[in-house]
Amino acid sequence: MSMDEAKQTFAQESEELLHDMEDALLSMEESPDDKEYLNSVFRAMHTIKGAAGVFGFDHIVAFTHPVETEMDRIRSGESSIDADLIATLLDCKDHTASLVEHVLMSDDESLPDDLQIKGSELLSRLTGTAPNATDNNLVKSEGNEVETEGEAKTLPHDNWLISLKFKQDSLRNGLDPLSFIRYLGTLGDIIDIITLLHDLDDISNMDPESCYLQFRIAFNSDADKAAIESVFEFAQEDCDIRILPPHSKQRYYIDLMEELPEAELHRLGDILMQIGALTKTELENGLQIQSNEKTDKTDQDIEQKPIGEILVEQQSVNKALVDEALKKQDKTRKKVAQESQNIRVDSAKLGQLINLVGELVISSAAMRVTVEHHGLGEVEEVVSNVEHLVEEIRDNALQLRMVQIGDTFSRFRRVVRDVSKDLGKNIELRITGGDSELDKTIVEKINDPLTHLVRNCLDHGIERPEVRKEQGKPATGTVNLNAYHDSGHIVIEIKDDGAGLDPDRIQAKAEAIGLVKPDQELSRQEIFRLAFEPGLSTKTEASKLSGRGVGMDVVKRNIESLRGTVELDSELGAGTTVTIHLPLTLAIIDGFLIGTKNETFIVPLSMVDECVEMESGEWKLDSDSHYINLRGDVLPYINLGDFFGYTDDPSKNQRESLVVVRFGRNKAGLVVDHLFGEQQTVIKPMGKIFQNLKGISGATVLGNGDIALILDVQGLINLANNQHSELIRH
Amino acid sequence: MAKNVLIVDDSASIRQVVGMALRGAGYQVIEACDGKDALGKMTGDKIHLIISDVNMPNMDGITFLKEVKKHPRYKFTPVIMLTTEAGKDKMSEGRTAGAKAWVVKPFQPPQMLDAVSKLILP
Amino acid sequence: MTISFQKNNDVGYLRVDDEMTIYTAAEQKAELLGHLCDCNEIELNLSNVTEIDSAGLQLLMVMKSEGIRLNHDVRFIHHSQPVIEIIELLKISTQFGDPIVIPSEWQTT
Repeated sequence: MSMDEAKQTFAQESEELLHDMEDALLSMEESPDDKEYLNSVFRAMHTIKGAAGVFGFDHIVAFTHPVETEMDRIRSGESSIDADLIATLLDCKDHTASLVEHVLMSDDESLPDDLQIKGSELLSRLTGTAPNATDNNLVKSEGNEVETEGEAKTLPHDNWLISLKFKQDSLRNGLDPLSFIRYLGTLGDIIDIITLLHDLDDISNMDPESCYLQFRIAFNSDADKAAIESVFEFAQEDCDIRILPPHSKQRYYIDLMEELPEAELHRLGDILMQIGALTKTELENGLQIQSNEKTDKTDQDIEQKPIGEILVEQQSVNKALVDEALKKQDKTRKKVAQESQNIRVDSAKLGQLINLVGELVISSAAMRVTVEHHGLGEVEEVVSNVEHLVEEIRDNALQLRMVQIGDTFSRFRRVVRDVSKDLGKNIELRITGGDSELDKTIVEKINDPLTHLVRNCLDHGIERPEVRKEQGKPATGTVNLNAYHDSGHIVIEIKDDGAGLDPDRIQAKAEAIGLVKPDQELSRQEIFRLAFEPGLSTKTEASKLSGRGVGMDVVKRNIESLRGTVELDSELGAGTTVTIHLPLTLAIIDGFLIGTKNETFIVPLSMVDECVEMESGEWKLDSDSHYINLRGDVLPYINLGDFFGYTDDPSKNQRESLVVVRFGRNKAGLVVDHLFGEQQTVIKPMGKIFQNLKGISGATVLGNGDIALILDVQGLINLANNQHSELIRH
Repeated sequence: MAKNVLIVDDSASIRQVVGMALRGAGYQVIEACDGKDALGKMTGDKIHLIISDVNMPNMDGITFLKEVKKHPRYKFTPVIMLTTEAGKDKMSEGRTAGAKAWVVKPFQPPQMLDAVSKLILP
Repeated sequence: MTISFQKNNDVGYLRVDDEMTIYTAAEQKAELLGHLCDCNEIELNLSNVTEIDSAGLQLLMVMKSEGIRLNHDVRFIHHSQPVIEIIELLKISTQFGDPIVIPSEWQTT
């Protein structure tokens, strides 16, 4: 028996009942006191109403319910029968027949105006109330609702509609549909049930142990959707379950939805789940269907079906509710979009927050130390959680201070344009990597050095157009500004395709001012490094723009004060590249804790390349020529203990380890006694009196309250390199 | 006619707690301490529901379930399997064998009563 | 055999003296539907149905719909308490259309 067949049964049933009703009404004219006729009329309205409810024919329910109520009042003697009433009831009977015909013939859910008006007229005639009141009531029923607030629960059509279609194996699996329905009865009232057999075309093929049962249940209950769904929890695999909430519930859902805060944008499914209109299982099923459909389709371009549509098709929620949720989502989206614009925050407040986060990081480390010290195994999980959260807070807080470097870069467009006009040069500025982020403080402080460097390019780097042409270069010179992230640092490159620097001239100049000894052999890199020394300018005459090279040493100092480095490389006639390495942030870093003798030091983790144990045999220390042979590679090194002048421990048989640190392209080894591992490190700047300390860039407080010095890796690498190369030279 | 529930679990206390809750609700309860013991008790009366643990000595729950599904008189009996959070990997095996109802231990007696009621009311 | 059968003037009188559950459904289906084909009218006495579940209910529903298809009259009479209980639970008395007599001595459950 299919649903259509069931509807036909409903039509036949109604026709018979209405026929009986007519007979009874006609007989009542003759013998008004016969209770049997009255019952017959009542039963017709009652049964049609109940069945219509199961099918969801709400207009029929809306009409037959008051008629039934009126009949009940007559039965109980509250009203009396007269010829007028019988005439009205006959009209009611005809009207019900029209309604039944309408719902069966037309798929359109709404009722045509003439039927609507006729119905309200009849009801007002029947109940004797002014047509207006009833009229309003029915006009309000556009959305298939006639209930007024107070009545909502008792109205017969205000029911959950549950449809269950059991799969063939369910009986064999020990799941008896009747048991679930019995249990459902404990949660509320089963108003009506239609029981059907599905997928059973030929009875001779019927396997009596297979299940063919299908139910449509009108269920009245205050239970929520999840509770109703849980009745069928064990049948989930063996049954198609659809639960549609009653109409009053729909309004309740819509109310709830309106109350949802609009601060955050939620997905449709989440909205529906939050208000309880959709259960988790239903949503998961819907999403499953959605993703299945996607993989089924070979053409990737076909748009995924919206989840709302799927849920409506699955009858998990009704369309009105989905539409409402979509509206809500749209509204929220707009609101969020409005609010998502930036908030201006006093940078001092932000600084305070970062400081507090720093303290938090230290406290969290202290907590870890205490826990481990006391062997408090049971708080381990909590501590791990807190640590994890602190780490996230740290990253997020630091992120707050991060800005894109693009704005800083863009400012140079104007500079380039103006300057090139002044100098009569054609120069194009190309910007890449503008979306790389770094700490706001650093961005502010890097602006001046950058300006110097760019102006240098414009002034000394790029040649005049006629010179360029002579050299076979395009008349227009190019300055490239580029930024990218590299192992916890941001790298900024300023590159021009200009004249380039002449290493010989730099060396000559350096010799002239006594910076290097005459005939000292310098590598290319070392020569270019000289360009940052004070008093060195290769330009014979100063320009008003960048001076006579004044600034390169200032540039270097500024950058180093940000714990960054600057390098220069150039090819005569082809151009110059200045590369700046900067830390992303100044406040907190992931550190690597090492120890030598009784002191602990922090190396920024991003600069640690590898750690090798002494016994591993992978490295050999040559203390005479101050290098380490690491798997055949020569590596300059520093013994931290010796470097910081610690006296030798009598128990010198310590196992030493090698920490290979890297900065830019340079590497060096640090020989230490202990490797302690990773450690979140809040950088505390050193006081002014320590400013000239070599090899130390800051300090931090460890979890146990001890102070650890933060190594200036770049400085140490340079020192190691110098030691090494000096030894080679001698 | 009271409904018979067979509870199979090697823990006597679990059998007692479940038994007490079910008897209180009007079921008749038969207890067995493992799969073998249970099969031995499945001879006479109709059994309307079986509650079985998975991990048991002598005969574990999954083997027992498969035996039940072969038993002509009891093969269609609804079965509630008891599992622990850790033992969830057994669930797919159990499901294939025909166990659709699972209750995760530890459970409160009302929870168990609820699960039983969904499958058969007393 | 748990189903007894008598035929009188082309009317088949059937009585089930057993439970109507999934354990008995296979056997009962063959028998009940077999007689349904042979008789123009069937009266099924359900007074001794000690227990009925979904499988049994399906059989009753199938008998009714087969009856309609073959244009044979199928009536259920003397419903036992378990049968009445599920008819009431599922509210299918109108669907079945047989008058149900509830003896007064049955306790309400």
